[in-house]
Amino acid sequence: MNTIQAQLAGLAAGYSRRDLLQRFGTGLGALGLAGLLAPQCAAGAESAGGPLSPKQPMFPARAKRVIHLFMNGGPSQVDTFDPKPALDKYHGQRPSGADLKTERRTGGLLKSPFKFSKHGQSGLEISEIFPQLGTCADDLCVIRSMHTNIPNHEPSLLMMTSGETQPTRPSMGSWLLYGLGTENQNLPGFVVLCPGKPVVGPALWGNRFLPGIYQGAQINNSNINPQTVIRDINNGQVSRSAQREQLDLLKRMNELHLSRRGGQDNPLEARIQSLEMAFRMQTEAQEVFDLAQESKTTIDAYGGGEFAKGCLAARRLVERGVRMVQVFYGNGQPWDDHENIPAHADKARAVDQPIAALIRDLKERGLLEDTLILWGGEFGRTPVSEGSNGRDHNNHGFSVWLAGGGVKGGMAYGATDEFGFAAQENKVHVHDLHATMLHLMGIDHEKLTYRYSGRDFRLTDVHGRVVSDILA
Amino acid sequence: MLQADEPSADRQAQLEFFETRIRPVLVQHCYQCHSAESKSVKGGLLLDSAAGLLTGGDSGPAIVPGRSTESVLIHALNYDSFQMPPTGRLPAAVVRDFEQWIEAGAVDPRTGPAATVKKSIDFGTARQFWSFQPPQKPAVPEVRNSAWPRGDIDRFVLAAMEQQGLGPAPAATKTELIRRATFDLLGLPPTPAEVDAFLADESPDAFASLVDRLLQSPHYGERWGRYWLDVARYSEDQAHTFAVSPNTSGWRYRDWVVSAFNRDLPYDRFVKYQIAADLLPMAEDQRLTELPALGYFGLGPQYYKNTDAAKAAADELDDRIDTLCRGFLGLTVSCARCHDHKFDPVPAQDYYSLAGIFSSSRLHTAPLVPQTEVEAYNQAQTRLKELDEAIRKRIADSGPQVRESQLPQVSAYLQAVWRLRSGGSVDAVAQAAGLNSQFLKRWQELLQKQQETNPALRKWASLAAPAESSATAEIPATVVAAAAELQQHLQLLLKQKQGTLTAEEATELRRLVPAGNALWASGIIRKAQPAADIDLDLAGAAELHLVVTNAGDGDSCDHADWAEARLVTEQGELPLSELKWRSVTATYGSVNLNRNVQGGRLKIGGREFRHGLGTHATSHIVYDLPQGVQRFRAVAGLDHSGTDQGGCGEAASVQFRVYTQAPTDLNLTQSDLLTQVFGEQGVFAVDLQQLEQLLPAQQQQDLKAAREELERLRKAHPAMYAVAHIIADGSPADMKVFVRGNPANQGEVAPRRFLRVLAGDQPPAYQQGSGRLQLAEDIASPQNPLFSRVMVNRIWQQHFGRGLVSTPDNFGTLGERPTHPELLDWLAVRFEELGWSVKAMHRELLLSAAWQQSSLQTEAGMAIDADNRYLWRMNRRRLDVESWRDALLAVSGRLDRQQGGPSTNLADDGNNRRTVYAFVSRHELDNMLRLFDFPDANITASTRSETTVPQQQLFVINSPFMLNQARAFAARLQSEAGDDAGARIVLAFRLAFGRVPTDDELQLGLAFVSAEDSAELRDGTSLNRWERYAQILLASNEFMYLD
Repeated sequence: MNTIQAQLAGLAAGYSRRDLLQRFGTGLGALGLAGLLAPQCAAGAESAGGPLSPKQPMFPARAKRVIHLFMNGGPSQVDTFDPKPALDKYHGQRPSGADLKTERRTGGLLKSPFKFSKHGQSGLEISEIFPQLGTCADDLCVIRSMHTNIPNHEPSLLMMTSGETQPTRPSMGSWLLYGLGTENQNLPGFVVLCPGKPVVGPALWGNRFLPGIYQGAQINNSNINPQTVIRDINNGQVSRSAQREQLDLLKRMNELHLSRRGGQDNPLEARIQSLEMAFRMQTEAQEVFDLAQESKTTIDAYGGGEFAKGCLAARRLVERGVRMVQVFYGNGQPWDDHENIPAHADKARAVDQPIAALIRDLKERGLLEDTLILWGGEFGRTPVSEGSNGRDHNNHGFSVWLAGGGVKGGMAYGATDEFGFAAQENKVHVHDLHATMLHLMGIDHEKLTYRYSGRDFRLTDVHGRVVSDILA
Repeated sequence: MLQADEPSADRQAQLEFFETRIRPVLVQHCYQCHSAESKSVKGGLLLDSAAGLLTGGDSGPAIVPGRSTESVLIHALNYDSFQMPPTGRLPAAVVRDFEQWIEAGAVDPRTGPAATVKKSIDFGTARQFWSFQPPQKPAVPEVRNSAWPRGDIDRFVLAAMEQQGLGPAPAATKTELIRRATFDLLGLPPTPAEVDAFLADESPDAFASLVDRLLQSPHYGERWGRYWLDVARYSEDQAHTFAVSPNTSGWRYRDWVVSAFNRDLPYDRFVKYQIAADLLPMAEDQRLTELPALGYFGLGPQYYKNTDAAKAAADELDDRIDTLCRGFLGLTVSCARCHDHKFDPVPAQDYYSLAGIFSSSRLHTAPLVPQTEVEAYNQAQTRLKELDEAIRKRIADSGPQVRESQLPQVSAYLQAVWRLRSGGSVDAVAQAAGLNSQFLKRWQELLQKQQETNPALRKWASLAAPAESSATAEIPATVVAAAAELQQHLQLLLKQKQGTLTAEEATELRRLVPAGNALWASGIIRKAQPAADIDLDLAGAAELHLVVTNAGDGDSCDHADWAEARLVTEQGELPLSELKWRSVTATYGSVNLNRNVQGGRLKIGGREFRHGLGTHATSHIVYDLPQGVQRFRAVAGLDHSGTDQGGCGEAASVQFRVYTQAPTDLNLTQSDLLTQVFGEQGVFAVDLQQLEQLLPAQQQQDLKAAREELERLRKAHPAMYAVAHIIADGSPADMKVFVRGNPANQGEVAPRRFLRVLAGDQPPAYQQGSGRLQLAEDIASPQNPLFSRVMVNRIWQQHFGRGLVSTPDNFGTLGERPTHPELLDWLAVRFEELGWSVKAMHRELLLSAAWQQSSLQTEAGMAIDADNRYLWRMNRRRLDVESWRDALLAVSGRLDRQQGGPSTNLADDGNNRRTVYAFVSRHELDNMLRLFDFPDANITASTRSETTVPQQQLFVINSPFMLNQARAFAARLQSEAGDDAGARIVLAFRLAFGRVPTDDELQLGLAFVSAEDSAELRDGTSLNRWERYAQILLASNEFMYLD
């Protein structure tokens, strides 16, 4: 069948090329539409059509896929990746910068309970709570000058995932799927791993005004059972061979139906194909979540716990061409240590080994060079104390790090002030981070647009600037 | 000031600095976008005159002479707020030049007024745009093929075809027509009997009668109401989770919409009710029927409000405007939130004119019954609550009395504890002494834990244990004396609390309180019971120490007040806030006089206080007492400024302590002695049930009678009346324009009024309340050129698969132009002629030859117009998820046709209601709805995307829902068609597709159902061959697509 037509049919049955041009506007330009209309062979037979089929980036991409390790709740920068010796010196005092508006009342400066030391050839300074990650220092590009708009979880979680503080915009994963499709048609293109729900919930991976197929598929990684992990991936009442027999008759009937309608109809043909794809998808989707297929060495390297399983699953997913995987640290807002900053050590312990293993594993498989990893929370925490031993939310300054696809390793970019309150040097807003990530994926963030309600919307709205200093 | 006649040398130097260092940079890097010559001036900012810099643009003045750090220009050059110039950051040295120049006063010789940047919209020209022109009934065109048209609609359609060299498709068969019409109007398949009846009816009016019958069906409103619910972004919850209260009666709006379509409420009233049902003149009982219409706005998204509530509120207004304008006007007015609309004639001021109407309204939950019923309910509720509380209070109030009544036994318990020091069983000792063993056990624990640390109990650490374990041996005098002393101590503390201490007793009490220990200490104070009253005898004391501790769990949110703190002297009361303290130590901030620690009003447990001290744990305030002080009184408690801070506030806890000497026991974190013995969780604690049993018999009987009365009332009590979530008028006020959409930067006033492009250059301001009534009248008016067009286009869209304007919510510049402009106008005028009857419009469209065409493609048609923009055939359409699911249920025989009422959960096994009654979530949309392109209810939707992806087919081949339908369908075939396989297959086709099978289809079916399962097929398969066959029919394209 005609591939171009099938792809169109898949995206918007009843819409033609001309309609699509109008619907998606000129903004989509070379990217989305070219991808939609041009035949694709990358994934062989599986690529025959569909809005999720892989599309060419606007310019050569440095990264093909993203793994976002989301430390939801907001890790403290001054206890992780942004050492502030001044806190030891002025512990207990309340300098003038402490009056920045955050969520709650805070007291004097609180020194970090953790020690920092230099790692790798780069000498990147990392807190002692990440000993394993320290060995990967030369792969990390820490941005110490992040900032965002609001010191509350929900708006900031949404800002990090969708570039807007209200639940009204598509998530970054949805934008990536819309712009680039995904390389494996037998798997969801955007997978979200969380043992339950983070605060806000599904709006964090929502598609909003983009078509529903671009929404993230949430997988509960508390207990990954390949048979049940994807909804309806399995039929407990009809065996595979009996189902094959059913689908053979269904195909005959659908073809009869089509032939009586002139033998040509894009939506009807697309659905016939789609049924066959679903049949095959059952095997592949179950296989990818069968973590037991990994060697004992690999399983041991990642260590135990939900997050470790999430990281291992993430690797298996990106290895098979999934465009974006988001691994949440946990339910609710676990890094939210208002009362007890030393508890950061427990959380760090749960992620340190799995993340280090993930980086090494990707590297060994030659995947790190075109997989972009983002680590971070929705905001940081105050260098001043909340209560006697905790820290409040802080949107004025925080740290994230990138690794892999196209970023410089062993680098600390930007800086906060002397105490770590606010980004000061080479400030990077979340919009800038998004612009940079899209750039690495081969997308001009100003040109990936979707026309909705009379406007051409973007992930970065009217903001964003590519941080070229961190590009390798 | 900047233009002195005789330039001083200094000024001369500065001018030179400007000419050499500043002007060239401005010219080279800024003028392209920020000068009078710019093609389009960005941000309303001009940098080509001194006045332009000072006046600034949308973000306020660009510079503040003398203050570089406050100058937006410098922020922008530093890439802080804006990032200018966008092509790349200027070298640091250049930025320093600008800083220096501004610090020195920003001397700038470029005179002349700042040009006005604002391009005003020329409404006269703008109104020439097609959709702003009033619709006129055009002349009906001549057509060559005069045999085909059945009416004027067809003449317009055919004329357009003929112009393109196209001709119409043949008419659809009657079988196709009844299926198409039934799905179109009801969202359900026709039954075999209905098909038979229609085929048998050979009268020329057969189809018209069919349409009339369908329009009378109560299922019509369920189908057409659902289209409107997409526009209304109908949902009963919110996307986020923080502090969300669900709209549990949201379904009343859905039911209102369904009913409005069923009773063919004229469209102008349909619209007006949704904007202003509360304000339109109508009889009271009618108002109660129509009030749920306001759910169009009342169920709108509510956003997370905490630190930036102003932006969230503005975002909510944006939702109201977007849904109002796209829904009723087909205009994207939201684009004008930050600046004048770039494409349509909507200035930002007009946006805020509409926003003012909604900011003058408020969300409201309105009763749907007469006020008398509401009052009857409320009174009954109040009465029930009072009774219930009275019973609880009666029991709880007796708690202290019951516990304190144990005082005379204290000494006996202490002696018994002493006996237990050489072993023995608590129960045995208690029994021998006639004591309660639970109380005894607690006394034993208290002494064990605290005799080393608590000064009041320290004596007990030094008392030797008895030589042997015995329940009867004589008690030494030292033990008897110590026990008696503690009992006396407790007695005096009780009297102190009750305020009945005599002078002698006060002296005695101070003797018993070890030096440096608290004279008084509160229990642990939490939000639930945030206050403690203090009234202490201070006669003879020289110092007063007020201490707040964090009660041992950290200082978070521990905002504590000593409210109405005062000293009682012979002359009267002296507020402590008028006395100078000797010293204060506090972990956080300072101690505030007559204000809480954050500087707000003192407020404890909802009660405000004018006098007092506001502090934060941990703190210690010391006063030197003047002569003649007799008592200290205060209300000590947690201030709202701490307890209102969410989870942190919930967990806040403090302990208040009063000393007359410097404290030595601050390391003690436990509660005071009195609380530990007589408090709710003290040694003598009893639960409510025990408490009741310990009450005197008469009191117990009273309680029983009160409970019975309560139960009787509860049963007789009226059920909660129906309510709807609506909007009502709040405090009417105009808004000011938020420059660049920023609530913190407000510009000109925007009078509440209608859009100028539709209502004239100076529309009258809305003066009545919020203005919603006038807005409703202006929108639902024949004078409004968009009103009728937008709705007829929506009706057309649902019948033909696409609108004459294919962007149904954008009739503006960026929207599509109509494919048949004259037809659209003709329909718009016709709609008005028909009294805005939607049902009448259905008849017009369905009786046209255009709608009754076959969906078959022709080669000629495909070659000229593959998109079928000119309607040379009927579009083949996929059923939307509601019709598809409802059809599956209908065909399998399980559809529950019950109408209306609270929403159901689609994921519930056995939910066989129509899909329109499903709960629609903004937070997490039901899986089946999401898979099959149901729109996101966070935003208004007028078209659905139509995707075909394998995940949908996984649902079709594997989901329990589909397997259940397959089983039910197979069972129905067996029960209705009996054992003959051929008869069953024929029935299956008639039910599923509204037709009989062809020969080859029948043979395929017979072959499938009669084959024997091999072992391989049987293994792991619990569906029999008929059930599997039934699933195939339900899964087929013919089931899902409508010809």
